[in-house]
Parts: sequence; C-alpha cells; structure tokens
Amino acid sequence: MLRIIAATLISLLCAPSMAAAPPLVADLANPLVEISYSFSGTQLLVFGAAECSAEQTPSPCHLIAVMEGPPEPMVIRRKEKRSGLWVNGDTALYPSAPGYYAYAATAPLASIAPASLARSLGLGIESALPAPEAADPTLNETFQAGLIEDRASKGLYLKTAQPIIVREGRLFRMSFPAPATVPTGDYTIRIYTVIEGAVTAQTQQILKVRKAGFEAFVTNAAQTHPLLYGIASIVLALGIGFTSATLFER
Amino acid sequence: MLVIGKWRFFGQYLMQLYLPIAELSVNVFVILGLGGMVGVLSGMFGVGGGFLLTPLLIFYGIPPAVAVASQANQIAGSSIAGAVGHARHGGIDKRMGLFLILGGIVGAAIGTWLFKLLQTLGQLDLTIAISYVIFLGGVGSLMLVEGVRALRANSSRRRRRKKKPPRDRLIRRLPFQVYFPESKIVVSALAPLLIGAVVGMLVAIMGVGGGFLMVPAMIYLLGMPTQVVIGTSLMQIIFVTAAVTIMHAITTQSVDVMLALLLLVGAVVGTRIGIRFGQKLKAEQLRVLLAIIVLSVAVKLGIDLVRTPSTLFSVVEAL
Repeated sequence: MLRIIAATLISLLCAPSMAAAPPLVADLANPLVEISYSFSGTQLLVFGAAECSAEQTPSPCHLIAVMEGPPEPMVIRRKEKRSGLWVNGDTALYPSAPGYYAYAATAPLASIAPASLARSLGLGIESALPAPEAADPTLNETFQAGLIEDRASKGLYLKTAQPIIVREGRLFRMSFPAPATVPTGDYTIRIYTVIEGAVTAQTQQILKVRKAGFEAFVTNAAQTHPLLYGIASIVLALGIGFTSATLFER
Repeated sequence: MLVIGKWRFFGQYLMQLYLPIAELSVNVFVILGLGGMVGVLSGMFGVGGGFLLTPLLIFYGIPPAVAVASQANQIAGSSIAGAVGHARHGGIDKRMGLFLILGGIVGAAIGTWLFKLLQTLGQLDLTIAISYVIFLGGVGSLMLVEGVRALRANSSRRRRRKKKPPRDRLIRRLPFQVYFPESKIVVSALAPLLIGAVVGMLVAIMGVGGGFLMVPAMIYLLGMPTQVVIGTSLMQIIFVTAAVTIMHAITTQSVDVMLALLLLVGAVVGTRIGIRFGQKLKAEQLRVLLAIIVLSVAVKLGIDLVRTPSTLFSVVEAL
C-alpha cells in the first residue's frame, strides 16, 4: 500500500518535467502585412525557438521552412512566331498554383533532406506545383519550367533557399523578400526540424497580406460596384479637368 | 543632419505610389512627368498627344488593359479642360455632336466587347501593339510629310491647297440626309454615325481620344466649317471616353482611377506650359519634331513585335 502511494506521489512530482516544452515554436514579426499607398515590397520575417542546432550530438539538427502564398488560378501562354509576328500560341491552365513560393534552410537542402522527404514536404517549387491542364500534355514540363521562370523573374517564386539564422542553438529567424506585386490573401509558413533526414517536429503559421485603407477601398469599389466606380472615376476626372481649366483661365 | 534624414525618409513615401488596380508600385514623378510631357505636346499642337501616352505607359510596365482603360478616363478629364479653353474661340455643332456620340457609344460597346474577348483569348496585348504600330505609323508619316512640305513650301502655296473642296460625292448619295444648322451643311446622318462608331471602337481598344481621326474626317468628309470642328470633336471625345471608362470598369475592371487622376494632373499642367511654348516657337518645326517622336514610338512597338522576346512565356491570373 505504502509502495503504491509512494509510486503515485513520485510520478505526480515527475509529471511536470516529463511533459517537455514544445520542441518547436514559431511566430511572425508581422502577421498582417498591409498594402498601403507607399507599399513597394517588404520582408516577411519569421522567428521562433527550437532545441535544434547543427552542433548537436549525437546527430546534428536542421531547420527547414516553406512559405507559400494563396493558391490562384493562372494561365500561362507561350509565344510563337507566326507570319513574322510573335503571338501567343499554346496555353495551359494551372487551376491552383501558389501566388508566392519561397523556402529556407539552415544548410543546403541536398545535404539535410533526401529527395523523398523534399517531395513530401513540398520543398523546391517543382514539388509544390500541381500538373497543369494543357491542350497538349507533352508540354507540361515546358510550361512548368516557363511558369517558374516567369514567377522567379518577378520575385514571386524564389528558387534558392533563404538562410535561417540560429542563435545559441535555440533561437532562429528567417526573412523572405516579397515584391510589390505580391498577391493578397493568406500565406502559410511551415517549419520543420529535421534530424538525419527525418522530421522530428513541425509547426505552422498563417500570414495575411491585405490591402489597407484607400487602396482597399478603391479595389473593393472597382470589384463590387463597378458601375458606380466607373461613374465616380469620370466625375473626378471631369471635375479636375474643369477646375484646372477655369483656374488657369483666370 | 536629422532634418535631412527625415526629409529623405518622407521623400521616399512621396516617391512611390502603389496603384490598387494595376497592383504595382510606380514612381509618382515618372507618372506626373509622362502626363506632363504629353500635355506639353498637346498644348503645343492643339490636339493629340494622348495617343502617345498609352504606349508609353505600357513601356513603363503598366499592364496594357489597365493602360487603355485608365487612359480613357484621363482623356475625358483633359478634354474637358480643352473644351473650357476652346469655349471662347469657337462653337459646337450640337446636332452633329449628338450623332457622333450615338455612333461613338455603339462603337465603344462593340470595342469593349472585342477587348474582353481578346483578353480571354490572350491576344489583347498583340492587338493593342499592332493597332498602335499602324495608327502611329500612319499618323506619324502623314505628319512628317505634311510638316516637311510646310517647311519647304511658301505660305501662298499652302493657302491655295487648303481651298480644295471636300470630297462629298459619296456622302451626298447616302440616305437619311439631315440638315445641320450650326454647320450649315446637309449630310447623311449615317456619316457621323459611322465615323463616331469607328472612333468609339478605337477609343475602347486603344485608349486614344480619337480627335486625330475625327478632325480631318469632319473637315474633309463632312465638310464642316473649321470654327465648329474642334469644339464638336471635343464634345464627342468627352462623352465617348466617359462611356468607354464606364464600360471598361464594368467588363474588365481595369480602370485604375489613381493612375488616371495622377496622369491628368500632369497633363493639365503640361498643357498650360505647352500652350505657352507653342506661342513662342515655329509651328512647322514642332510638327516635324512631333512626327519624329510619334514614328519612333511606332518603330519601337513594331520592333518589339518581330524580334525574339526576352521571355517566351507570359503568365496572367485566370479570369
């Protein structure tokens, strides 16, 4: 009886320390990015804590992160020369491609994540893109390459990994550059700790990009009340034109 | 030092403006400058200049659909400024204007429908580029020829040429002859309806004002007296560009009112400067200069159409 009571007491006392602190926690410096009139691109900052360091024994621990923008339907067109002019020829539709894609890691991906893991996590933009719907399926790979090149040139898909900076083996931070043309919507950031090619912990955060203030008002007006928006645009233009002319006449 | 630092910080916020419909960030002074430059040209020559702005906006990186729709908006504003200025000098043939506007609205509707169709097919950018190459190439060449001829000829020869009567034999044969009291002419009503419709289509697809086609058409095809031509054409431009703006706002939602108003502010200021310049310098030399500018833009657009593009792929958000 005494042994049972002693065992229960001991397990109760040990319980709090046995429930270990979460191995990986992350947060966003700015969970709501507001696009205002002076917006010309920004850095999306992610930070957090993890007991994870490359110097760990027995095996080094690495961090990998993926930031994906809201899925959007996209149409990609390939130019071809017809009658001397470059016109749009074959097209393909991506019903749902990420509006933004970037990833980060503490070391080169090839050295810390085997190809199968990279594919399952959606690391590298090729694994994150679904197959397109094209009239000619043999062009799927061509279109995929073309889409990636186009988005990369606009800074919306980042082909190389962003660095993750780790302090004291516990705190980490990373930053993803976003151009002025980033789509509005919900962005998902997924972070993993990886030891010997296997995921040991993971977490996820949502970052929102929204138009704010006047920009939001104008976009909303144009999309939900197009007739009134059109009339208002004309009235404003006529007003400015008329006022300036009468001002100058004097 | 702190003051300078703060001013530069503040200046950064003044320089970049995020356009909500075009969804990109532009330099405020570049936009004002583009509008101003075109305004100067239009102030110097009395008409036109707006047709240069759409290609220039496209060169700067504004999506063509947004450039065309926002330009229609801007032209409405700068045309009313021109109309106020003109009100003192000449009159308006209101009946002719009415027919031109009616034709213009029908043409604008057809043009907007075509615009949307081309956008869905993915051939909008190409169509706009080809249209501008033809339009600017034609207009520029005509201006160059006329300007060079004016530079060489003496004034008496020019005056004799202007007395040529307008070609009206075909127009006299058309039905629905109507009397236009302010112009004191009798012309088939179909003529202004058709002219207005053609111009309306061009406004909707290219984002031009159309004055460049209407003024010669009014003088040579309709035989209107010069004092009512400019006023009447301005009246048509204002109504048709306003109609096109509203139609584009409804069908393609590509009217960026902030872009349009910013361009307009630059344009009205530029026009005032242009009028001052135009009074001081020789008209014939300026006309040749403008012709060269117009032709260069046409050539640049043409070259872009035939040379291998830097990237073969274009990606747009599916509609």
